[in-house]
Amino acid sequence: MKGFDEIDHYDALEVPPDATAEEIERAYRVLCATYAGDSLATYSMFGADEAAELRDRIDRAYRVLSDPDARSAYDAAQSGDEPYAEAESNDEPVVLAPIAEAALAKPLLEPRPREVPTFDRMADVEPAADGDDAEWNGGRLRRARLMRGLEVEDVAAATKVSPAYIRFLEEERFDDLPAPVYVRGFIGAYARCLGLDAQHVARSYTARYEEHRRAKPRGRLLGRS
Amino acid sequence: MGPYGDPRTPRPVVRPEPPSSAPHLLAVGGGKGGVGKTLVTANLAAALAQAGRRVVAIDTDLEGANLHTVLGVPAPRVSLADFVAKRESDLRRLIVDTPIPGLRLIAGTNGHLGTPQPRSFRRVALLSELRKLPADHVLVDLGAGTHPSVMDYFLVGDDGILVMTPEPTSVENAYSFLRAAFYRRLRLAMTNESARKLVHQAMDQGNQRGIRTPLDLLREVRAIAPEEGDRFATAVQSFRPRIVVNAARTAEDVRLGFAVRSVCKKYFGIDADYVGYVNHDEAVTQAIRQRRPVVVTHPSSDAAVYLVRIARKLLDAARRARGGRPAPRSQAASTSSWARRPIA
Repeated sequence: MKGFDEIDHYDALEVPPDATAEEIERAYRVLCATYAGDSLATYSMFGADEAAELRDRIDRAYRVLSDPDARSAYDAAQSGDEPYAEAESNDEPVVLAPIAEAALAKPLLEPRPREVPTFDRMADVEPAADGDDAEWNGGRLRRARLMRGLEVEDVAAATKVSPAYIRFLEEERFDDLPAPVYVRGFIGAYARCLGLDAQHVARSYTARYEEHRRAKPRGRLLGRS
Repeated sequence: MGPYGDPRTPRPVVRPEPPSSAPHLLAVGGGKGGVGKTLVTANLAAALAQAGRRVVAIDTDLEGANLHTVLGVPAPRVSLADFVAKRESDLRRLIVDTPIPGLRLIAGTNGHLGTPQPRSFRRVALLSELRKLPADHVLVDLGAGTHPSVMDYFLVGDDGILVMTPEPTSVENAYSFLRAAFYRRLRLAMTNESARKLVHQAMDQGNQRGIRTPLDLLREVRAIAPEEGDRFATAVQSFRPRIVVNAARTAEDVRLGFAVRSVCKKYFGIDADYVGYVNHDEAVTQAIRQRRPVVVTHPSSDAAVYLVRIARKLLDAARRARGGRPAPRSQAASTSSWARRPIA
């Protein structure tokens, strides 16, 4: 048990000493949100000063661990091999731009779920997905989305499908959805955004949708198929 | 000075070494009322029973008992109140059946309005009786608040679940609950009388010694009794609350669990586990109206899927803690009903 001032950079970011660059980025993002001024998680626990002190400590750790050279120098110093002097802090704010681009904007459109923030840590909460052969319904899509820490609006922005349709897809409001060919496209985009097998998910979901339309004559009359 | 300031009061034994046949004890608390403690207790109990485990759920919230209602036992003929009032000394005779196969109940109804909670001696007896119940899992539903009795039920468990909802009121009370549990755990771990006094002083948040955080306290304890410092550290390490975020509506709500885990680490120095979340789901309301757990009435609803996941995770953790191995996925799929369900 150590105070903020005594813990090492890895403890500050709550990552193991062999953490990958990706894990460090992700941990830093989670911590930034956790100790932000309006954070719910620190409510009643840390005062504004303490939260600021923690943020500062986390920033310092991130500055060192996110820079490969600084990190190896730090590691060497920690193991007692070489003296270590932290680079003079020039009080520049930590620049997040490259990560924001890489981790937030791009991967949403590409099947690389491991790069979506907090996904790995989410996986700690979720036991490994089983029942891979099970069908994809709206609930399962919503759960997969939440597990990746994404809001409906995030998916809408990445897929260019309106948030209303994303909700209809999740709630399986089939009567409010357009013809199957569009739904197939929506689902494919949604699945890709989550890093899922788009074809498989789209086939599974569309089968449900078409079954519903067959069961309901109204759907056939109004539909254009 | 309350009963717990008095050193003559017998101290409940925290986590005694259970015999191999003793049930796994799981306490569900959360500080604030209405955050879903009873919901989580009832559904985890039902999910474990559905997985073929023998389960007893016990309602210790004698002032606001309603676990019996959500489990579909409208008027239990006996209850924990009979134990508190010394009408019955064997907990096993207070067990009643529920409509859910494999799940039985010790209800919390018919309490004495003046003295709802057992006095400390009776409480120690109750805590050791819990270990003798004929079950694989005993789930203890706790009342709101941070009364010492609530803390003892929480601390005596093999697993303590902290339920919170994504609201400042719930988060605030969850932290008060954790603080109370944490300091009580420490106080029970200290053998040196002055160290115990220090912990007691630290529990007063406005204390004059300037002890504000567990770290301040550790420094003070080390200063007066260095050997107690190690005991302190061990007690801190063995305290692993499990966080459940209930009524999550957004991905941000879901992330609250990770943030709270971080705060636990940074503030208390403890490793809390985020075992899962349950999303806000209309099916839960409907299930309550039907007076059955949602995992029974709406097994494919989001809430049920999440609750079953949490149950499975706790089951695996309990097996690991007992030195056993978690059931392999394939075997689990063939034996338990939940594994057959589609889970994203």
